[in-house]
Amino acid sequence: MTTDDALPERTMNTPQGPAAAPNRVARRRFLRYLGLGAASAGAGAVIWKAWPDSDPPSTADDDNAGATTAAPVDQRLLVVIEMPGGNDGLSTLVPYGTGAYYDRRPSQSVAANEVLAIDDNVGLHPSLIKLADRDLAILQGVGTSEPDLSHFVMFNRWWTGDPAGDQNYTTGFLGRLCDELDAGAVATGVSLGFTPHPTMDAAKATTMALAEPDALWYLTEEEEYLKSYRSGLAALSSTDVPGGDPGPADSVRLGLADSLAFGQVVANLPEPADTYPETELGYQLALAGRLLAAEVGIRIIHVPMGGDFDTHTNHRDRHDGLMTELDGALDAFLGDLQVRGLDDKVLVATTSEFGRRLDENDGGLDHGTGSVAILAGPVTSGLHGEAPSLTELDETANIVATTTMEDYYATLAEGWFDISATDVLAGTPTPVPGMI
Amino acid sequence: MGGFIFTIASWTVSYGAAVPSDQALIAHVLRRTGFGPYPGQVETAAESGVEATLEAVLTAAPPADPGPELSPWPPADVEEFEQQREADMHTLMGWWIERMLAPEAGLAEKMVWFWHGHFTSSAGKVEVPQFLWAQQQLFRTFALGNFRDLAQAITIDPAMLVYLDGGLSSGQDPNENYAREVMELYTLGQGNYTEEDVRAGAKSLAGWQIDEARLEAWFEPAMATTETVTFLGRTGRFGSSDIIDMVCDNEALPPWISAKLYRYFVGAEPTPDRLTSLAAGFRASDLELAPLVEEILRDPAFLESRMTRPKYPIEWVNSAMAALGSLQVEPLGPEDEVETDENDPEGADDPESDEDAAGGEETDEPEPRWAPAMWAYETLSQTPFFPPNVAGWPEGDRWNSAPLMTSKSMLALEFPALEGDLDPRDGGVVAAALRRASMYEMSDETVASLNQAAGSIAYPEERTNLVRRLVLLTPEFNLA
Repeated sequence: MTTDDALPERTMNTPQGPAAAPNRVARRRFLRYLGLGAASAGAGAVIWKAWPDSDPPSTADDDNAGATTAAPVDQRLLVVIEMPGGNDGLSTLVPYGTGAYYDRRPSQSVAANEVLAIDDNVGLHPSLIKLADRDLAILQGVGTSEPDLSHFVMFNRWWTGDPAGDQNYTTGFLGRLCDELDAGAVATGVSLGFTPHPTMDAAKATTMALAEPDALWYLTEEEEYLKSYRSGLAALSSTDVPGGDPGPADSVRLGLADSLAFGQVVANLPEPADTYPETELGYQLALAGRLLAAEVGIRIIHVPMGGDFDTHTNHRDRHDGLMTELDGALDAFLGDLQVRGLDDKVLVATTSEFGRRLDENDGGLDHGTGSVAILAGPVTSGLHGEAPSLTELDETANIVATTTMEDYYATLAEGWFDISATDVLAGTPTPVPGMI
Repeated sequence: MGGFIFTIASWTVSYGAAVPSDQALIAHVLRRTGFGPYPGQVETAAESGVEATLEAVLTAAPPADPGPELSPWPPADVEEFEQQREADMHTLMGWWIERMLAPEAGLAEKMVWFWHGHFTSSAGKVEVPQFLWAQQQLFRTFALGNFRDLAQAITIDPAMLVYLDGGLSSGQDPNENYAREVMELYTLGQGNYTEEDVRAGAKSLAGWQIDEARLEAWFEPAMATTETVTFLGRTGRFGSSDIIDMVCDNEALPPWISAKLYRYFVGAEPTPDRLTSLAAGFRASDLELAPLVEEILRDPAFLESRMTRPKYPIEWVNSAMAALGSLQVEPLGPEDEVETDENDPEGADDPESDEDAAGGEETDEPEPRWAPAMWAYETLSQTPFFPPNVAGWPEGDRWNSAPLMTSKSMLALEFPALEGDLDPRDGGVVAAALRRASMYEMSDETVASLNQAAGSIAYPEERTNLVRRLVLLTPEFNLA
């Protein structure tokens, strides 16, 4: 599509504008977690090398000093933030050190001096400024080995943990994790939404859907008619299973009992923290914080963002906004977990059904492959996996994934929960080493 | 529908009776072969008896219907299609839902739902409403017809060619999706074919292109194969109709289809002997569906297997709305003021909720009668035209899982209910509500719970309202 002599030469040294001081601060802290000093850089001059060196801040005064040690396995919790629509990995972890990135995206790229540089090659999106201060693991090149570019197909594969789309699971990936974790809790997994989410469909564990605390108004409000209604439901429910194997009628009674019990949990949630931004993800993660703090046995929460990552048009503006929303809400969530004493227990991991095409298209980006995953919490900070190539693409001119969905999911299962990957995924996936 | 006065002796609900009454058996027949029953239908049918009801179910002609009014086809240009697509999907969805909500919806309609979940295609991938309508017409035409004819037709149906990638397949570069799924899910089951069969089948099935304008497929020899392949033990140069014929001739086909239909209607697995005889009959008739279904419905196991499986959401929602008389409640129009009152603190009757119920757009129209049904199907994870994957709707207890019982607890409060159609003076409010919901076989335990709930409310209207909604959450009502 482009020829090398048609475009002005771009190197890492080409400034796109004045460097902003906050970037330097964020980069310094992030680099410290990588075990690198403020003066680190690879070969080749980069713009921020010109800033005055300074010593890293003293770890004794720093709230974010060092990586958190993870809690014992049986206390661990997982929050999966889904970015629906296809999050552009190249705008999230910007390969500012690769010429091809700017060649192929003349208008939809993030400027080198805007990124929160991690090393000579890549940096975080500029809006992820609060998160850059925290322990973040960035998993590169996440995708499937047999990509499909249909939202419908790929949603299904990610939700059910079926990379090739040939398993026809009746359970979701997170649902299967819940089945492994099932200890009879009132809810082992919760998806934040109005309707039960396919990714949380479990075979035996109870998993629930909850959009907001008031969504279960019929199970929580104190109004007289509703109290009578609930009384009636309670009378119809039962936790007794004669002979241990529920028949069809027993399942209904058990379902009602679990439903009412969950209603009680929701009616008695711990107080919300007031430190969250008033964005949709902010509200969702605030609720997640309360659900986890309730300590009723919820082990996994699925948070599908309401924002639309399917940026066919107006990519930069829209993606910038989405990154800002992610940064503010997730940072508040991580802080909330610290206050509630849960920060050593909670792993946050992002998913997206695919990435976006390397080449831009009329102010936007089409469906692509290979994105990134961001993990926060007790993680080994820094880059993980292998940077995908921006020159060796697949036959549809899309990025070739370097970390498969199943290996990423295996990492969550084995690395975090000590659940054997083959118990929840087909084939023999291999967890990504050294991340969790 | 209202206005029946029953004498207590003849129409009493049987509480935990050892021998089911005629009403209980008839209610079961209608429940399994339709989407209701509607109030009064069981009583009317009971005048002729169980056998006559079964006969009527088997011989009823589907009501004539001209079909949904979709936009003129083909569209003048792509832009026109884009604009029309959402409206057409809305129209198509609504038309089908109304067919299933109609009191006349019988065995043929129940079979359309079955085929939709068997020869699956999803509107998530097939984005042309006209394709989906063309496919559904095949299900209506062949509902109780010949399975081979249906299988041949669906193989070259445009919606299916889109959904399972047949339209992208060529002899030189065959796409295996349809070849695999047709054998794995639609006809034979795993273990009855090999990977070589999938590859051979994919090659020989290729060549069909989608004629969008005429909503049918056409065969392009240049896209097909002339290769000799070996498929299910036979070697030769085959076209797609040969492949489907061989699949239909395969001995694994009759038990596969017979077992699935048996589970659908009887709600239990057939015994090995029963399956063998059903399969033999299906083969002997050269795969005629009407005799197979009749044999299943006349099996004593059918009448015995009452409340043995969960109701599917499509059944729960429709029978709940039937019991409440929801379709007879005038939908709120834009001119209706919505006042919050103490019985409706959350504004559950708020027309603002139409926005999502009626397809995602705010309009000045009153919401369609079927809008609460649509919202309910989505809430319960069973939206018509959107099966979760090629395997269709899963079977099993998941349909009465905790999250779905939670959702049903909400929906039971939100469905519109016709007032004044239930006469509590006849045997009490619980008996009246159960009759209204066509529930003639209840456990003592459930009835005691309902009586307890009825006793807890002082105001008669509220009591009636409460009890009839609680009926929808009883174990018995959630089972088919």
